[in-house]
Amino acid sequence: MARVRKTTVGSVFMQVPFVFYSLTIVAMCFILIVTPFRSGDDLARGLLVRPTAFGLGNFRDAFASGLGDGVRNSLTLSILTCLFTIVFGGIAGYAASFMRFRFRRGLASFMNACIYVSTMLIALPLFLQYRDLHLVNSIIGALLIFLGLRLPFSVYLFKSYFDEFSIELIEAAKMDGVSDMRIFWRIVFPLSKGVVITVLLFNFSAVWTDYLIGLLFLQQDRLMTIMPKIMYIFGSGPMVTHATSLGQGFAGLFVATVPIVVIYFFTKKYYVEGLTLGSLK
Amino acid sequence: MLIFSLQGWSYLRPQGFNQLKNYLDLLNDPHFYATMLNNVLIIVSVVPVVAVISLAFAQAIFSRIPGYKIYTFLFFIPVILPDVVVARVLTEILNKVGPLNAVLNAIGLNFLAKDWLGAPGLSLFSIIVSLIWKNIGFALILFLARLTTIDIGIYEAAEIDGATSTQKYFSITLPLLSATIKIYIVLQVIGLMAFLFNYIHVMTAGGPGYSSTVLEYFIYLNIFRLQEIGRGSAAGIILMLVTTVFIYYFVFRTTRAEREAGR
Repeated sequence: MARVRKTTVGSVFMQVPFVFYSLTIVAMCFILIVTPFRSGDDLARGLLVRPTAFGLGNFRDAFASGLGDGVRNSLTLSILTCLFTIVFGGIAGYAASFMRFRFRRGLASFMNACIYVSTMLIALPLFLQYRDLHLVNSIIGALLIFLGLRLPFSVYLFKSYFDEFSIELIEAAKMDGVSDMRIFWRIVFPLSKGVVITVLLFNFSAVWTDYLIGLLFLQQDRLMTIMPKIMYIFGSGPMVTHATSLGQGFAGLFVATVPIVVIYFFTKKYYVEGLTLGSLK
Repeated sequence: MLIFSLQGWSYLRPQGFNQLKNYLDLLNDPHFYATMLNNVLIIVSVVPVVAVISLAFAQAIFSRIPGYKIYTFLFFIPVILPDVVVARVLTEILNKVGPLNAVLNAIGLNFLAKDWLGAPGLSLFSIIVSLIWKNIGFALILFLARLTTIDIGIYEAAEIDGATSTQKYFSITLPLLSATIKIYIVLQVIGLMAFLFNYIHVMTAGGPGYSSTVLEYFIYLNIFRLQEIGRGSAAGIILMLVTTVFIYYFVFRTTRAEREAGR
């Protein structure tokens, strides 16, 4: 496309929707960043009132209300989910891409279909099984759910990435009698840095920002994950707003958002890759 | 889930099969129709609006309008912000005594200051606008990624033949984008049908009344709040049937692409 454009009335006019949308985003970020540092008295008079005091009081109160537990639980679940999905997802992706066995295509398609099945649909059957197995309110139980939810997409990412590899290289190694596990760990895995980062990124943020699973399966005070914890701090019901809990809640939102945004800035390229994957074929 | 939908329930315990009673209950439940209508309204308003806005943004950013770097940076922010965070902050902004109404009052538009999430006719509208706001960036990423892979030679050839920029857009760019637009629609519809719980639960809890309940939230409400397991499961089966159509299309496309690549 043309790189140099004449400045016309039209091109100034074109800026209007851009500027408008940008302003809404800036306003959102501004409220998200500034509110947690404001005092409860200010917030009681409204979000837009000129602030008289800044401080870390809201963060202190939020952690006193158990935000730390939420952070710890979510962090544990996110990291473990990442670890297991990398190992199992990588191996399954390798099998789906390089090994020849019956129902390979069928299985891969089935996995792809699982990516977009609504979490709400599996919630009830899981909940009843978990009640009978006494896995409700257990971190291990929640971890298993997250693994089940995140593996299909991880396998899909790995498989798409491995499909770009030269199959001759793998077959040559097989001819020499190298086992599949060895090929995977020695040849394929070391070359997969990009896809590993993409999988880490998506799975970490999916588990970290999860709401429904945490809400249903980790109901005990000490076991809540971060998002349900924040909503709990805000107070029950969406319409209830108290100035004190408002500041604390926003401190929680701040703590929940920062890791995601920081990770995103370092891995933007991989994020876009993961999102656009499959839409360009 | 299919079995659950055919059983009678008492306190989370199945009480034997009752044929299609749950489905008949569902069909006699006026809230169910209101819910389905809300779903349809959300899809038919969010998908086209986001698509058109993002296509325009993508084209403008691709042709490097002044400040395009800042815009690409800013427009991706809503995509990465967690659902719950966006929903909770918007709940504050749209509050009856919140910043939006304060601004509207301050600039003399008092008549526009409304109870955005608390009024029956408005809560769904507010959610739709929020969803549009959140999803523009996602569509933009997809469209921009496709635009950058288009061969510039085609445009140069068209220019030699004397094509205007409008002609170039509608005869070259749009047809080349059509596959991406299709996959965007599929992903977006699945997202709006099956992954909407966070917004609804945080912003309005489906209310007031059932005015902003969607099918997914209706299932949650019936199963985990009202203990109507049978009815909730029946609604779940319906959600599954609807989404399966779109999921099938997605899987079909992926498999076809793989076959063409010789895998």
